[in-house]
Amino acid sequence: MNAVLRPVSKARKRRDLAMRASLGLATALALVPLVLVLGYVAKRGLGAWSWHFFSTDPTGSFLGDPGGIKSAILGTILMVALATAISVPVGVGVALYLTEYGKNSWFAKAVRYFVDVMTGVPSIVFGLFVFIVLILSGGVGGYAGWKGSVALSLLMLPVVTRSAEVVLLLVPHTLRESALALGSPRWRMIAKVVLPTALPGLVTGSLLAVARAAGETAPLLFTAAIVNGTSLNLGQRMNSLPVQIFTDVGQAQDRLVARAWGAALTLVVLVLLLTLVARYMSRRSRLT
Amino acid sequence: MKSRQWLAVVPAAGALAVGVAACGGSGSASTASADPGSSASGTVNGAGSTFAAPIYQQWGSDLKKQGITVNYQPVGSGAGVAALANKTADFAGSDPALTSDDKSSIKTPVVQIPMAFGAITVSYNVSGLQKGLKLDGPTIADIFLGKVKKWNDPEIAKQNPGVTLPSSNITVVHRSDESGTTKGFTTFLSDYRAQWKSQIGADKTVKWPTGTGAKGNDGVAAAVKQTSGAVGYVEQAFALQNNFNYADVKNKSGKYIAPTLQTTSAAGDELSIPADLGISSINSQNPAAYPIVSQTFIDVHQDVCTSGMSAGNAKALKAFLNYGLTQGQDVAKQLFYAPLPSPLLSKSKAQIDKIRCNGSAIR
Repeated sequence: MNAVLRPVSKARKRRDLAMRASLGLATALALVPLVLVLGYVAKRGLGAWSWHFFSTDPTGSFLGDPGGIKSAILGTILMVALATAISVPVGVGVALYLTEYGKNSWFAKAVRYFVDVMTGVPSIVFGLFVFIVLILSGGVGGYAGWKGSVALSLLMLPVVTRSAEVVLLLVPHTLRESALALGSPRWRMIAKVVLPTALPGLVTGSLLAVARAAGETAPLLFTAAIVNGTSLNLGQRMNSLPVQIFTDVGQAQDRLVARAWGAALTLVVLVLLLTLVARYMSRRSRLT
Repeated sequence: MKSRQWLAVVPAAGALAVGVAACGGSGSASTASADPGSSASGTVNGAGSTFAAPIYQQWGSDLKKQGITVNYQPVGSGAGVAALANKTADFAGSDPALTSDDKSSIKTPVVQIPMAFGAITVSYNVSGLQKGLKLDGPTIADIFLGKVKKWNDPEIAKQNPGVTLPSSNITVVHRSDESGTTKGFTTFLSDYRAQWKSQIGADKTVKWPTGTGAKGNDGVAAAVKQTSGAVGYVEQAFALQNNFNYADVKNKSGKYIAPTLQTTSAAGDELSIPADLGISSINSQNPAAYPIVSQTFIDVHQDVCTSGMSAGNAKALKAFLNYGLTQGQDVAKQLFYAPLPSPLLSKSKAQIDKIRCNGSAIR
């Protein structure tokens, strides 16, 4: 075989080398900010970490002990959990409609279009929307954790929907057809064949949406407000990691800025853990 | 197998969130209703003045042991009054007295309670320049008008013989949000410079002719700290916390006065007190007083329950205000705020008794 082919010319080899080198360089350049950010956050943040840091609430004390970030961690977990409970069923439901029923009808196309538009809406707009509709209107009280969850779920909804739709489309048609051929009704085919097959992918997509929501400041700023104490009641104001970081960084006190770095590292670690779980789930997937 | 897993995920997540909400809700309700006696527990949400934020947050952290949670959002006096008007806050922290415009924007009757006094320092970050630079009102006005551009300007030099002034540029830092500190500071400047009064005026936000804006006293402090050659106006607690150097400012009697607890308290004496307690302590007549001292108020709806508070939380609000005007006054002193002089203090305390819950007094 080789004898038939002409030997690769020097010029082609040089070009190949040059292209490989520039691609490698581009990759390295793209990694530089990531490594710098992670390294710097770890360096500044680890210094703030201690048992006290995780086990106490911010005190608000001006001169004394500033306290830790317990309320922020718990608030973030609770609000994101509720947001997930709202957005994942709805998002997966929309995706199921699009892939199994709507397909290419004009309504499905319109839904797809508006979901895409929703992806592009800045997070602060969702915050403002919830602030005006649920808080300023006065009907359902003032700032509250669940309103933060609503704003976050609006943010997560398009991410969940789009990723779920992609995964559901990957489920082979032959599986659907064989289920229907065996006489199963459509709902049973979806519940017993399509969803279980797509499950790892659905979980991955949802976890990525969770990771995105966990880091959002703007939707929470006008909805869950800024508080110090721990509250496990979603009907009350709640602290959260991004909002804690936002308020601490603006302060002129080094110890509060240090707490912000510690909280930033905590947030990065939380999101990283979620992403790792998502990766693990997607590796178990039988699709893709 | 797989499908059972899937079907379990959604209800479990939902049940978790709802369960947490439910048990949290019943928990706080029971603490609010369990003790109808004297001890108040509940949550009080305030917003407003960053000038007074250190004291309110400290009082809140002191009251935590008694079961009272105070959430104070330091968003500026203007935003605080707006939050009171749209009922997203139970009380507003505001440094200037409520104007008739403020009162009409809030619609329902409001009780205005003076809480403390604090000095607005002219803080600077200039290497080689020590604490106690002497400045008079017109000079400070000219700096903030952008007419005095360098630290060794003759206007500064003639008030500071023997001080070596650097030739570096002055960077002005001012507030960008609606601020009571700004109102106090610009009121002071308007009294000394006709040009300031006619062109800029005295308000919570003004059109700054020069400089960069920052949000809150903390924001201005951070900007001054990070910018060499900067000058800004911040409440004294923020200046002391950041080890800023600040100026001795010439008062009405022609004396250069450093802001201290004593000279701040002096501005609170000999005040004329109007019926709604809408005092102003800027440019005090007292020769011992620092000239740029601002009072700070807490404003609440007269009937807090018809404005959205539960009876339990109304009790907590009253306990918070009572604490602020008793032990809280000493706490304020530790943060370099001046306590209210006794004639004003008793009038402030009388204001608390005007607060009602659904028309009846709060016990």
